[in-house]
Amino acid sequence: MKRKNPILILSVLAVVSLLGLGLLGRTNHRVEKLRKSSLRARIKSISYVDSLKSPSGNDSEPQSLMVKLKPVLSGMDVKTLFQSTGFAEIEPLYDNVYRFQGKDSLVPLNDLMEQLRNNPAVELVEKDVVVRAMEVPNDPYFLYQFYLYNHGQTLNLTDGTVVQPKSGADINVVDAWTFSKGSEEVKIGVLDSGADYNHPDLRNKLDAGFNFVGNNAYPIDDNGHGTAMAGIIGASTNNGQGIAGICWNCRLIPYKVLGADGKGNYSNLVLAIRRAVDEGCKVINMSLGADEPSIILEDALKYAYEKDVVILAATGNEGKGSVCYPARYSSYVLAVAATDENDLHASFSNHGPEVAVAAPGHMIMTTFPNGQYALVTGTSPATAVASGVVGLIRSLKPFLTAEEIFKILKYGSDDVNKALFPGIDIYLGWGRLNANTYVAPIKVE
Amino acid sequence: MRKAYIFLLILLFPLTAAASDLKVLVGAKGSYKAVPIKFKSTDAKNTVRNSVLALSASVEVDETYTFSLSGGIDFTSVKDPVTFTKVPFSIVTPSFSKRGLYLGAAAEAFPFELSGFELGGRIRGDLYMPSSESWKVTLRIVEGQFKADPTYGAVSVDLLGRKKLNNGLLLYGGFSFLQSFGKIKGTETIEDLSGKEDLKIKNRFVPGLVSGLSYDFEDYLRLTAEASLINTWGMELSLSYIF
Repeated sequence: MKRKNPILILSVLAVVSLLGLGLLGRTNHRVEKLRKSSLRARIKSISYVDSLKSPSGNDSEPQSLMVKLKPVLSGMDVKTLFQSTGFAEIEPLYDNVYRFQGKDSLVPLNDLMEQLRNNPAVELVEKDVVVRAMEVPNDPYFLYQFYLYNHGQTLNLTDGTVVQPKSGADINVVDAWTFSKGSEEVKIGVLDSGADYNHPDLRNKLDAGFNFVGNNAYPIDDNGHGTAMAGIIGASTNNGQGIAGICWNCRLIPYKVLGADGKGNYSNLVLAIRRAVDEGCKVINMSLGADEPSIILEDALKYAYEKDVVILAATGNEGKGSVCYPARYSSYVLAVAATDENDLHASFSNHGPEVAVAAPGHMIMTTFPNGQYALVTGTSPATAVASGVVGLIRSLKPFLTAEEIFKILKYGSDDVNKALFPGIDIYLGWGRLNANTYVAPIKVE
Repeated sequence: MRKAYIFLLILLFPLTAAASDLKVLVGAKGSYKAVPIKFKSTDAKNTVRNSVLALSASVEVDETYTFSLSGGIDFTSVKDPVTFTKVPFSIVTPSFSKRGLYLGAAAEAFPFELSGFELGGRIRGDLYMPSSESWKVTLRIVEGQFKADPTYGAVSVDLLGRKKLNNGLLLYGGFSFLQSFGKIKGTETIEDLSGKEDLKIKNRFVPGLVSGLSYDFEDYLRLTAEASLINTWGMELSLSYIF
């Protein structure tokens, strides 16, 4: 038998390969007023407190399609008609609407969708979107925590005031809890007036701290401000009692730097920052501020930042155009402004170029000493809200640096005042926090 | 092509010097394979599908030992969405398909004989290098980019038996153990924020079945067809010219 020319045969094989390759390429592709803190103190706690009467008491990718066929097809054998489309199973839902199961199909669901859209027998094709149970905590006051979950619920205060917040003006944390509820590994230092260690919503969350005012190991809260901030950040959640904290599982360490009058001084603040860092806090909440700069204070903040600690501080409640210290040290500190229940810049919230982000700070339901609960207002609670959110991020992604977390808050926040001030602005910084954007996987298309 | 043929002969000369019957085969093959995988860090399951068109060269010694190399173009498809949980912002990509390069090598030996069957085995390695796929990351304030770079490969160890029928048809079959390896490297860039995350594949040797047939037409053209069932199915068809 005479042999054929091998070069000719190989050339034919190569051409066949290239033609086949081209074909392959084409086939495959979200009170009663109890107390007002002194706001003009050298260091002051930044919130008003109002109390509320106690009431008694991710495999989310669709795998199937919903297809509506044109009425003319009723009574026809739909399975036979669509046999060749690559769906593993076709089942009737009602009338002319069917579920096309694409789970075991070799063709991507988007391609199958496109195929069906081009089919003249098909009226409508939709993805069979996966729904999931929303994990809402069972804490009875959660209803009042519209900063966490605002669906436009009505809030009736004991003084007869009725508050009707704007639906959606919240930090979107309920969705975020699907991905992070915090970790016991993450310690949050609360530099404030101490905390109520006996509060039923806090006693299981507080670790031993320090009292810099009394220079002892008992940071007992004789003011109420620190207990309020601690509750916002991480009150016991889903315990059928009181409120929900933002960072369910984070540990809280109170460092008392404010006295019974809500005032303190920089020297104790500096000591507390350094101690919190040295005791392993990865987040420091400072719902306090003053108008004077301090190089020693700035050094302490730098020390914390360089040890990869995220520091958050309140911008101040005077409604003026300058941000308080330490929030003003924006190289090391995230300055947190306040929004109200309608996602608007709160009138009392100081503004300035140092503002990084904003969080709800009006009528924030939280813990108060002696087992009580209260509504607090100011950039203090806004800062505590932000600290809780940072706790969630640090728990889920412990490998992120403080600088990266700054950027995540910056780029992932909701620019709620973009109609007036698109992008970064002096009122809300990069925008109001959106916890879900920081922790939930973002779908790219 | 002639130079390549001479180069191949020089390369394989030491292996083949003592052989009494030496055949060199040059041809083309097409294959499709779907392999279930699991990612190490997330435990998420997925399926990688590879469609390959390649040119191949083999040396067959004494009809007992065969060494093959192949190279060509691959179309890799990642069937399900992939979730990257670590990069600064977590990302979930849709399923995606990319074209790229393919390299393969195999060694086969049938040194034993039992009741008219030749017994032996095959070790085979395949490497797929698809190009990267990118998507926009849309946040409320800024827009960024996410890029996925898959590299995927598989090594299979097959225990085979074969028999040549009177009509010249060679039938073979046996057990296959497939080890997948590789990763999808994710890179996120949003303004001055960036991060990388490698999703490594953690498959252990997955057992399966393989069977095929081979037929020489007029002693210069060989057609080989093979099917495999390793959790999911695969097939390969090759046509070679025998020198």
